[in-house]
Amino acid sequence: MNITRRGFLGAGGAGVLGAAITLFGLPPRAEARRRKPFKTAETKESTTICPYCGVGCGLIVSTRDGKLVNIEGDPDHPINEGSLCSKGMSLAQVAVNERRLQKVRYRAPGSTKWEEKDWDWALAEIAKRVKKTRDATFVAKDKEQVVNRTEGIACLGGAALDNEECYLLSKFGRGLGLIYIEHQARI
Amino acid sequence: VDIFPSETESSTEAELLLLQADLQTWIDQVCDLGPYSEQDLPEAAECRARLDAGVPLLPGGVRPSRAAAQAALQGLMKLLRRYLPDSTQALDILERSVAEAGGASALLDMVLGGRGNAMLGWARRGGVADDLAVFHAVLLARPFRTWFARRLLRHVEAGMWSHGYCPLCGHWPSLGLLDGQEDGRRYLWCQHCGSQWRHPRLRCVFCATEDQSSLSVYSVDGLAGWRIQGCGGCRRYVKEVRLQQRREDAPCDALRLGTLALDEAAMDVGLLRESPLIAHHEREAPPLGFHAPSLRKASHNEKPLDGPMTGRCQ
Repeated sequence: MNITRRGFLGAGGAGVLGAAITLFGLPPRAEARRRKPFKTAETKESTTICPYCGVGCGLIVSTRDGKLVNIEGDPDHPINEGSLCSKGMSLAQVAVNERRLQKVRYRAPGSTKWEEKDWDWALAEIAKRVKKTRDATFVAKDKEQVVNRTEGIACLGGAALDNEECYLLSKFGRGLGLIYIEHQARI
Repeated sequence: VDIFPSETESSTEAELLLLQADLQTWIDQVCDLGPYSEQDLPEAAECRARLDAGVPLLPGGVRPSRAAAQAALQGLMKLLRRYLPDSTQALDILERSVAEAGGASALLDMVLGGRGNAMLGWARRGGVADDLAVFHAVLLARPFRTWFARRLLRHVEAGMWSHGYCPLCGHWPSLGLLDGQEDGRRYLWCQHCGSQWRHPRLRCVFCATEDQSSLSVYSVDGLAGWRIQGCGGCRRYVKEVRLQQRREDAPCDALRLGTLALDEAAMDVGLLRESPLIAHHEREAPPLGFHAPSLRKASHNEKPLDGPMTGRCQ
């Protein structure tokens, strides 16, 4: 429904004050109820913490029907008082971004073209290469000391990973024997 | 002016801004008459004690000068007649009823004393419509509350007042201003005294809940920049507008009156409008010269006055 002049002025001809008196008075007059309802959209606001660096800026995330519609700095958060860096300000693009890749793309060594692959192929290929590198660089002992490590692979946690994902990634890396485990937030 | 909803006709905007300017001039003129003396102001320590206890600063039991009251009434009637050209008869009845009730001072005694029921009783006996009586009474008291606001609000330091009701007069706010210059901080505006004070965004103005699942923000088609924050717990709401930069002299009356559609939309989704006659502290406001230790701390969750005439409107 489009907002009409009547929506702002209430009873026709009464001017702005006339409408205000009609609407704000006690009790509301019957004619105020005889109209089509306005089209409204309900949004929920939730506070959370920016997933990027270690500063921990507060955010207000707005969702409508379960979908993200806006992210802004939380002006009442003691750390950032509403301010955000450029990464934080563009955070919504992590969830809503037409340019975000939806499928696996692979460029073979020496090739100049990207190929579309499915996830089963990609995961198997990654596992194969990790295993190959890990086996080739695995060090079981350093002198007489058992170390069971690989120095051929490093792991860098991404800034958008949450706490639980970081835990799993770290556990996974240490299971392989990685010692170079780092996270973006410490860089 | 780009703060009114885009659908607002330019003639309406012009009328609203003219009304705002005339209101401000009238308020300034009454304040300049000196309706109270400086001795009516509470001491700084008393103000501090009141604020710490969650009690608004406006002292009770102080009466404005008769001359200022009469001048305020005359100015307001002139203003209403200018902006309500079709309501001459209703305004005649109103003016006659005020005179018969003892003039502006008697009416102000009722309004500033928080006796909304008595005021409405007077209006009904005189044949004045309830809605006009309430609107008129709230406006008539405005310059007198503003006089105190201009002198006492300096005691409200940042972070000192976290309540949803006005730190000066205790009424519930009529508007929320989201300040773009301050990264979206919310300031509330009181139509009774013109005060603005900061309040957390994700806290219900009325029942103070911070349960984010209870709070909703409603936007209305065609009213970009405007929103309604409604509480699923207490069902009350406040209209909010995003401003590039909030100013103490923002045309809040015009903004409130220019967005009646939002009030109607709020009612459509089942929210309730708080009565302008309800002030949070009415039942517990101590008389002037109170002693701070006797104050009972105001409770966020305490139910507001809810009588047959001062109850909320649906």
